[in-house]
Amino acid sequence: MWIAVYLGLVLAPLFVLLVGTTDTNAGFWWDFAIALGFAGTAMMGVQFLLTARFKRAMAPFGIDIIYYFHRYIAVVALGLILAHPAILMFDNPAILSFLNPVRAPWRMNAGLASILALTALMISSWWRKRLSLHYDAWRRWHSALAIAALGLALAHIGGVGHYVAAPWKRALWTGIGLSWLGVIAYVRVGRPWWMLRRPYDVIDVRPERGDAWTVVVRPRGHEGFRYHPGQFAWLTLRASPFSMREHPFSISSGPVASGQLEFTIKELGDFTKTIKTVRSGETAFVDGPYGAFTIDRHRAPGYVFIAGGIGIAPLMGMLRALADRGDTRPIILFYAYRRWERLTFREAIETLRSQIALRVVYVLGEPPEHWEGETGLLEPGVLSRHLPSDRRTFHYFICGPEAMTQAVERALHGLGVPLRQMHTELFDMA
Amino acid sequence: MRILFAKLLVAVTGLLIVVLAILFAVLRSPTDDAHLAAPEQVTQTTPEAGVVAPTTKDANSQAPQAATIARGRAVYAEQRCRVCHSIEGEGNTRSPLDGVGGRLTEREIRRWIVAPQDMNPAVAKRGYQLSEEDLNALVAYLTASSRR
Repeated sequence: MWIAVYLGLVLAPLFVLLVGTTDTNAGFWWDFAIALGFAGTAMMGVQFLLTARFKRAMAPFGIDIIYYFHRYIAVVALGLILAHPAILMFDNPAILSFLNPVRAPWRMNAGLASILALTALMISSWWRKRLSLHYDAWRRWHSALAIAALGLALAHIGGVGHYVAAPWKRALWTGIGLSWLGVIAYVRVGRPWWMLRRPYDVIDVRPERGDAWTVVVRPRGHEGFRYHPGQFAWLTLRASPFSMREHPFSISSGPVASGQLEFTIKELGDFTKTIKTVRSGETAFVDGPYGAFTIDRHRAPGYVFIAGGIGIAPLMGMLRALADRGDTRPIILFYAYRRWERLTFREAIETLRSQIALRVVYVLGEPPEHWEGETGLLEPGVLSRHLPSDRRTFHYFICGPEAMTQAVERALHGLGVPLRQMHTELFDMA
Repeated sequence: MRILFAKLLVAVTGLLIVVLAILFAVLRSPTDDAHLAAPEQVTQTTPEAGVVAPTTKDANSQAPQAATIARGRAVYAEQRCRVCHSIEGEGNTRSPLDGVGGRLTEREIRRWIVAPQDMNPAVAKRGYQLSEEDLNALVAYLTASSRR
């Protein structure tokens, strides 16, 4: 169904062209190339919608699918957009002369510049880490390049003019362009403005085992938001909501009436290393909640939580919520970590054991002496040893490094757990 | 698995877009039969169309005329007219110029080059600023094309 909506958004401009066209025959390849150009441009526009975080549109998928989709469909869009001039040039070599920017008319240069911006955008996104680009800087460039690529593409279309010559077509394309601009304006100005008026106070920053810090924030002068345990939010610290210095983190606390939130953050990157310097009383901004990674959306007779490292954070939110609600359903937690001393939430988990029907299976990479629990990696054997016989009725929530997540999903699949009962959360979204 | 699902979604969507783009192109490009039936294409082949626009210079001297036409062909190439136009199927077949000398007067061709919006305000074509000599040569070349 949502594919249909997506296709509608991408292809609507194309069929507008088809309607009431009076052009002479230009040949299949020419029209095909033009169609690719228009589809590619529309896809660029829809990319903005995908990451605009419209909660309702995302609900059926979970934000991770949307972001994966954004990531991979971009490759398709780039392919279509590159194919657009390539096919035209192959069909009619005279067009090659437009590659010389000095002699080409501006509208062709706009198209070329759009492709260059798009290529730069793709390189900086796929190889952000290899190019050692700072996340915040990358986000700003990503945004600027994206707006440039789309703007230049629209200028190219308007400049060439063939296909949008009729006034009503021009109006329609202007409308499409403006609505994309509207989305950008809403995301960059409207929402930050709204967030600015709903600030949070940092009330505590406490150390956890394993180089992690729990930041506690409380809404200042408003009620915060309602959320389901396991969801996440975008957190801005020491910056204005307009600055695009927000980072997604799972909420590690269970929902409470005061709207207070806890984020447990491990020191992994440029931003997360600065968490320990944050002090109580500082202002924070929170955009949330997001995500479909929550027990509240999936009723089951029992749950299995599988965490790798700091992936425990959203699962901790769910465990705490279950305890707050006095839930009596059986819960099994698999928790893989390298070393016992660094196990984040070790004490908190032990406390939870007395509150809910929780069984914990620790899997240690480097076990201490006399350790009698599981060791090594979270392998299929570990899962099958501890899962009950009615495991097929449980729902599974998995959060950890990508390799672990994939291995666990395969293992569970092998154990007969249906795919729709497995839920995973992105560990590293950028 | 979720990544796989997303990739599958992307593959399906991408494929659908390409298929629909092909469909679009097929729908827009009429079949060969329809193409032949187009009145514009037929008139250009009727012999009388060529004689409708005989120019006065035409009969005078053949040698300077040939040089002018050659110059016109060069201008046609320099200005990259074939990006949007075709002659004898070479160039962009969206707007063929074959037999244009039969369809339009010299004066009309000139207006189409210099100020196309005078001829059709809705057309998306820019006016070309050419020297008088080049313009004459180009018009001569295009007029001559009616006989081919």
